Amino acid sequence: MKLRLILFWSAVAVTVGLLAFDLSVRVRIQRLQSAETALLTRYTTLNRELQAETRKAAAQHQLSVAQATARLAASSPGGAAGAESSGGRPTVDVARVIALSPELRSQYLQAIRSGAAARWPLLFQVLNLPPGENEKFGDLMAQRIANNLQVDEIATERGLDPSDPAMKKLAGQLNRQNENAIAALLGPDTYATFQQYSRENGVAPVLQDFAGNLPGAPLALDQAEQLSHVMAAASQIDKYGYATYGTIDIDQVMNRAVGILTPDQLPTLAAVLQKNRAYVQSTKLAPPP
Amino acid sequence: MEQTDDAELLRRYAESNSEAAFTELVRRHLNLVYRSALRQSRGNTHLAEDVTQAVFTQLARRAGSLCRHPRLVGWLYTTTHFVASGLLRTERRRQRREQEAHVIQDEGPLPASADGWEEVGPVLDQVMRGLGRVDREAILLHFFERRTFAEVGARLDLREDAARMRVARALEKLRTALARHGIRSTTAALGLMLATESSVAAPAGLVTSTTAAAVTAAGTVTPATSLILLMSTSKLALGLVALLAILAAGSAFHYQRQLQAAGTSLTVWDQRMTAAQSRLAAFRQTPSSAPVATAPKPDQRAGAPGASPAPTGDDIAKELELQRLQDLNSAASFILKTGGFLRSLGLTPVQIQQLEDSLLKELSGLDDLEVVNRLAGTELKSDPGLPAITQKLTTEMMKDAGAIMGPANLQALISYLQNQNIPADPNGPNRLQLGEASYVATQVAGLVFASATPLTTEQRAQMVQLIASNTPRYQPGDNNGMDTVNWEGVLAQGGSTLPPAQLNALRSLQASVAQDTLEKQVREAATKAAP
Repeated sequence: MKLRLILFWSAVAVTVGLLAFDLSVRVRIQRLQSAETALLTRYTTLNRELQAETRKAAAQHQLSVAQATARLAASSPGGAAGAESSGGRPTVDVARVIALSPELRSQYLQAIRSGAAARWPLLFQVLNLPPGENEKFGDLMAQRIANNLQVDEIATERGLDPSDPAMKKLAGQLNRQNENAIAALLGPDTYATFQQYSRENGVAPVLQDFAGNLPGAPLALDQAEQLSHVMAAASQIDKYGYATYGTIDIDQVMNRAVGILTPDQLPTLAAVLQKNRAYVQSTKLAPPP
Repeated sequence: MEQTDDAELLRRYAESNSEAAFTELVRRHLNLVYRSALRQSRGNTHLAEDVTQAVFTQLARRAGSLCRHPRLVGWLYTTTHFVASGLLRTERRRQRREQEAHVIQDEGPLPASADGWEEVGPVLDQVMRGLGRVDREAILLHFFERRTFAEVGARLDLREDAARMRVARALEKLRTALARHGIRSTTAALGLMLATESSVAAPAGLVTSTTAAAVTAAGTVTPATSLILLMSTSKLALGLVALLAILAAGSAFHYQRQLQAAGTSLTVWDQRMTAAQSRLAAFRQTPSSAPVATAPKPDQRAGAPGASPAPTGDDIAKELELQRLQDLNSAASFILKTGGFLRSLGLTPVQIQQLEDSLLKELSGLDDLEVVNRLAGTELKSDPGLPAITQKLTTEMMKDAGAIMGPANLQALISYLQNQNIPADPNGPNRLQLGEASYVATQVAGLVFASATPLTTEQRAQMVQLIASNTPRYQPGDNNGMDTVNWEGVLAQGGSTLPPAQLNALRSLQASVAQDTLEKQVREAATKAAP
């Protein structure tokens, strides 16, 4: 009898315990579901706001472009689109339009500052500056573009062409200041390296593509450095001494690359160079609209 | 019968959380719900998708009671209306605020799908709600769910002939009601319009995303307490104690799963919130990061359809040269894609070069045919000469390739290429998304190769998946450039796992894409403005 009583009360206790557990879990699930409904509502609102911001940014952007284009058209006889033409289409002086709109200029310079490492892919890796200096260096590289935009703006305000001697003089002064600041930041040896890779930056996108396509046989930095010199030497050089993008002599590079790369890496280099040449030539034949 | 099937599917989902059953339900009724939501949200596809998701979430949550509902289609239609009305009210309030702030943007127009639909669409649901329940269901079943009269009859407890009459009468009532709104039409034209409208499919992938969201969001609870209450007699106490202990363990396990499901759902929403918040913050800080609308890639080729109908000798020479360059590009891309694999098969650089030459030979064999078609504005794939030439060239190339690398290696290459072209998850990113993501990953790899953390093969594969899941679901011909990548999403999701150098490379690429986009937009706008 006593045993039965114990068993009975044990069963009651377990049942009550389970009921309490059931209740507590239901409450927790209910709370989670309420939290989820609240999140869903907030997410929907956020999404609406995001769409609104997208449209607002697009409208603002269009307005800025229209204003700057009108300003440039008003100040130059040829209008915003210059007299030069490429493939039968007028060439637009994009930089001058951007220079004339504070909003566009600010966005543009911000993009250049943040994207400097992608614009000078090998230079940044070769210099390998510590984070603080790297940022300062990126700012100075963006400053070079900012200087050009500033000269464009002043020229437009004064009704002059950017190639006017007075404007060229101003551009020269600003560029010298920038060069001095970079030299001060880097020190003489690194500054010489910077100058060399700046001149070779026209071949850097091909090198970046090559390095990115070598996951199984990675490119070492010294290989990349030698290849950069070889590619630059096999490219057309502009009047300022800079290697021109898309002008690499493939045979010359491949002959010299044999002494730099491993046999496994060579077919990839040949394919990257061939792809780049096909791309550049087809762009010349059928320029994008 | 379909009704029984719906009920059965709902019951299976309610009782055993069968996701397959719920997916089937979503697939059956998605078009009805989505198109109705799209009409009520006046063509706003984002809102329509939100409404659709919310309706199916409610269906999942109430599966237990709704499996006894005799008119599931009617319930879905009415619920869609209520959910859409609620979200539209919020949307209108937001638009009012926007207009007050002089940001005036029209909603996109309702996608045109049939003549006169633009007129009927906006008032259709209002008029439908004015019809009697049976009339409304007759129209929904026959025109919106595309059921035969026999199936409509089975649902409405009518014979087939009676169902036909009921549909005809309901359509006539609908026409009369529309006429009161100033929309004149014949019954036949209205029927055709409804049938055409309902045949427009909901976006691809919506079934999967809706099911996943609804199932995750609906944490159904199966009560175990009723069983416990039955077990309170003292005579069976000993056995019951043991049974209760087992039940307690089972119950705890079950509840743990329920809690996990609810928790997972919260995490999913949290992630989506974080991504949305970071995109919003990015907008407010740098409007230049505004994503560019995905637009079809313009055909850049001279001589494309719609261009000059009479090509000159120069046009043909230019097209042939362009085609040759495209072949070179394709052959080089082939080597870049398969180079590692070919080397792993033991092929020498010379053999790889021979393989590329063989591929080029095949590609150039089609050049004349392709250029002729392009200049004539016709499609190469519909050229009657194509199958024979392709077969001949392919046979020759396979013969050459077999001689270069041996039959076993050739077979291995074919298998490799076939696997490359099939995305691992059919519901995941498609081939175009993976292709674009792979391109971005290559750029990143080229930016960090000399850093302390170069991109390894595994990291590269993970990055491709991360980027692909943050691109629109491209279709052939879409703009699939880097400007279409949701960079904020990539950075938000990769922020906790990627090494700093790789994260910085992604940020740098994002900024460089923003720069290119800005230049392109300015060029286009200024060209348009030029005299």
